[in-house]
Amino acid sequence: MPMTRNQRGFTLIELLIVMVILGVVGAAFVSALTNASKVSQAQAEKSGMQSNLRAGAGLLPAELREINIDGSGSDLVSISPTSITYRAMRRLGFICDAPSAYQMVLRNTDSYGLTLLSAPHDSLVIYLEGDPATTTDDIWDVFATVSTASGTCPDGAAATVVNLPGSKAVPTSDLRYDAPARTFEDMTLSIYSSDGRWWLGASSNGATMQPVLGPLAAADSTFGFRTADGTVTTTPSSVRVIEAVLHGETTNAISKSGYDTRRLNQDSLKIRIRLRNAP
Amino acid sequence: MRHVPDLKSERGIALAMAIFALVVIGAIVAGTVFAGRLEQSGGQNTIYAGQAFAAADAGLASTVAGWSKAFNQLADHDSLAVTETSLGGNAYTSGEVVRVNDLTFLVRSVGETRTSSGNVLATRMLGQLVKLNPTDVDIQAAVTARGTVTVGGNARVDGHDQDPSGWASCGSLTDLAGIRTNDTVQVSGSATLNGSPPQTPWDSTITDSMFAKPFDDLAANADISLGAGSYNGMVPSYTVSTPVKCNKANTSNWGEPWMGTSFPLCTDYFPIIYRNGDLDLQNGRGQGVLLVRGNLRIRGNVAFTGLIIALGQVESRGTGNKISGALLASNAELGDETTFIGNPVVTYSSCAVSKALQASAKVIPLASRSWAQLY
Repeated sequence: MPMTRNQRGFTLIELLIVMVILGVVGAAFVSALTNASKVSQAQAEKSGMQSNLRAGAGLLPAELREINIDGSGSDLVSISPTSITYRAMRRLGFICDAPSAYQMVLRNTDSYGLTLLSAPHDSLVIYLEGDPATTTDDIWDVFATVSTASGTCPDGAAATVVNLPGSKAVPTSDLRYDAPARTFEDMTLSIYSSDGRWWLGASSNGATMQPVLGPLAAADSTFGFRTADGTVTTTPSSVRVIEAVLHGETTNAISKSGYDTRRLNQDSLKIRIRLRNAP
Repeated sequence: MRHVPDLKSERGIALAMAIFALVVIGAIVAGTVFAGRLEQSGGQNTIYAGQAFAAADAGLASTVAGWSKAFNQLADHDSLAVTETSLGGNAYTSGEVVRVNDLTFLVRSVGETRTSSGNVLATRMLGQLVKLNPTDVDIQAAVTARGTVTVGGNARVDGHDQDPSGWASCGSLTDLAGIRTNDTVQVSGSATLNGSPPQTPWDSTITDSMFAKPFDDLAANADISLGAGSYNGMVPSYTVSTPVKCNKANTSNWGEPWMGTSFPLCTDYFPIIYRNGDLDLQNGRGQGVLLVRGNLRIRGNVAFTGLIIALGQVESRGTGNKISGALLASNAELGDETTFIGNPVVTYSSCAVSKALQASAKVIPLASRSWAQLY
């Protein structure tokens, strides 16, 4: 049978040339894909890390700037370069009635905060006016809580009745009608290690530390404390400014220009928090 | 003849591979752009939240610093809105003041960041607890004076603490001296002095600053500034337009001290009335704080409830003059040429003084824990 031009196959040389070309193109394609994937992954990791740090920029001031320090004491219970234990204010309300020295009635309206009072987990700090003609005897006093129930104010408004333990009585003669009250829980923020990584963790009333932000590069993540004139202090009652340096790192190692191997990428954030209730 | 190739038979995978590569690379690039966009949005939201917080904080400071006496006239649990203010850069602040009880207020400030078209990007709400801080006036008698005090006719000066007729009690009552002066007290005719004690002459603790300091503090915050002349017929009044309100633009309206009368909307109005010179009064009533830099002459049928401070002489003549509260004068002559027919001239009332001073008071943050995040 006669062979036409259309029926001729490829020569070995032609096939080799095609295979080489395909190999080069394929290698370039795979390389491009790999690089794009690395860039994308690195971008996602960095984005996650920076998002974490931004969360810290929102969380720490919100938690710490309401801390009160006055002549009667400090909401800062203990401080260290890696840990802060403090009274975290959770709600503002007003006491419309005090049937006894161990029972406070909190008005439900004009009540502000993200969480409701949870007894006995939360405590109360109550404003005691004393002599209205002077401000020198005005104090906020702290009381534990036992339980809560629904109730009403003397004017019929809906309220929450808070029962206090019998160990400490509220001096009702110093309590003014609709006196302000704050609820708080004891919180600890700590730079701590878990599963081989470092985190900013939070613990309420001594419960197990839970991570709220991270992972962090432990060595450079610290808390600092300064007085009003900027002097470093370790005395809780002298603190007026809290500094936090959060040194975040990516969850996974990523390629970084200038390095042959993949490494954890790091970034840092420094926050200065002026305590608003500390003169 | 040249062979024309059959295009259908020249099939390959180059185009398919190129399209596939473009799709894959495009997806990766799109993902990266999306991640970057997410990152940018996250950063912007942080900035917007910070701007809203700063706006709310500025609103708090502004409201407290520029405290309006209209807030002092709020009833318990009532509130008054704070007008929205643009702070520039698409940041706005607004809020309200809530009266918590007779002494305490909650200032709520809302900060917002908006787009140029008005859409809200971030909101923060802050609060500050503030307390009335009345001017400190050293009142230890119904009449406190420098120089000789003359009480004659049927005048009465009573240091027993009494609530003004018809007023709700302000709290416990504490009696004071009838007259306290650094000189003598001369009593003649049928005049009577009461108090604990009725009089304290030669009181060396009385100094100029007791009069001048509170006078200047209060005068700087005056509601009504009177020109020279005699004033006759001070009565409360209402606005003509609806809704009817106490007419505070009328300088003859000094508030309504009489409960149960036809001007109940003026019972919470305690103006500071200031005269930079001598002042003659006759017929009328009022309440609040009366400040006279010169001599005060009360000619008859004047009823005033609150605090009077005169840096000159005070003369009360004629019938029907009634002062409920306290009077401070650098030189006082209380008496009459006719009679007072059993009506007290000056009756000490801590409630009247307290109400008058509180109504004109500025505020200060609570001693501690005044600042709060309300979210």
